Amino acid sequence: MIGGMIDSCAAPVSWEQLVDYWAGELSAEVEASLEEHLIGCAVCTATSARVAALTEALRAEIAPLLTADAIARLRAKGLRIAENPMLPAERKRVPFPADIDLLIHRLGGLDLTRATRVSFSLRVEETDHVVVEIGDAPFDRDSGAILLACQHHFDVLPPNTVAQVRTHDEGGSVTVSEYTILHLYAVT
Amino acid sequence: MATAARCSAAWPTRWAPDPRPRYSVRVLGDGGPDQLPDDELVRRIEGGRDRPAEAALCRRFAARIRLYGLRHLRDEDRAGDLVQTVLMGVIEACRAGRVQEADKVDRFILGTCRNAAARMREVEGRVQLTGGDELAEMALAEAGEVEVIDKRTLIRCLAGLEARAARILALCFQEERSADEIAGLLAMEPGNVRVVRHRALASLRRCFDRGAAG
Repeated sequence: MIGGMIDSCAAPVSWEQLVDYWAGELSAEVEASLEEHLIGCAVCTATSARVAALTEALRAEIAPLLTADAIARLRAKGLRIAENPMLPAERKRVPFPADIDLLIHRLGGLDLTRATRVSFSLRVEETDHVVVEIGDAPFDRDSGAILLACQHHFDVLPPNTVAQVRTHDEGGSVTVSEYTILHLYAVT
Repeated sequence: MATAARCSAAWPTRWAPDPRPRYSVRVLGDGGPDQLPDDELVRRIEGGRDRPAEAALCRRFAARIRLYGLRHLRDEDRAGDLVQTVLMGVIEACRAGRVQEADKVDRFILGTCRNAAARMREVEGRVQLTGGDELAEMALAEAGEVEVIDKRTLIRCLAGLEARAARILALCFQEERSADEIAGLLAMEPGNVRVVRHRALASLRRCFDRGAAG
């Protein structure tokens, strides 16, 4: 609604079409046509803004698993980063200080030299609820570790988590490694 | 006073125009220039300096320009720069009588958006605005509020999705993978990826709206 005016749209753009638009998956012709509609329509602009708020917030989020190069880029941007090295089967209380932006759990002790794929999941220890599941985790073959990024706003999740790394090797065998991370978030 | 509700009915088929009227009209009483149709605002701005009409035009289009900028420049600050650049250009064009089809000022604005965004993509960083300070300030002031997504709520809402749906959102919006690429990675049909993606975003939206409602 603009001022005291009630808006209406005779042919509203669907949520699905707007999601495809913000995902960048419309053809150039359809996108141009949609934008001609949006520029003249307050109703569909409002719906588009509701989609965009979410898609752009997702784009701004740091992915849960990172490569060493990605961490270096974040460090170069000025993020304060600390590392927590862990070994398979380890159970550890891990403080997350307030003066650190990103805590990297270095899930080590892995033989990735023959890995064809690495899958990853993070579940809540008490409930087994899976909060992250990644079938094709990024990994550096020579590093022997997977890098899990934790941020302060993850404190809304249960603090006790189990990270599971499954290493699929050339011979078809799968090695499972688990790390129990008991997060101690700083009060912010 | 007649009140024009604004919606062109061009979508979804520009090639087969919707026969429904371009505007619907409701009478709600005198609400000032915000109630006027686009062409009347353009005519009021032309020649003189009808500041309320100029402000109303800025108010009407600022959010739409910002979204165009966000979509094509992928940066909130640069989208704000686009709002100022475009609105300053459009107001100056209206004042000078250069908007020939006043009832199609929205198309004029979209064209200005496309040209300005193309120029901005060619340069790094923010643009230096060269128009009148007063006009630039007015354009910015009318840009309206932007919804701020709380990161904690986002994480909580994401954790409430099925793991596969959350993964599809991450692959699409963090790793910028297409539906076809995601389908290949997750052994799904591209159409199913799109369905999961829009349902997951709708679920996130509901989760946020419930949070906002307390």
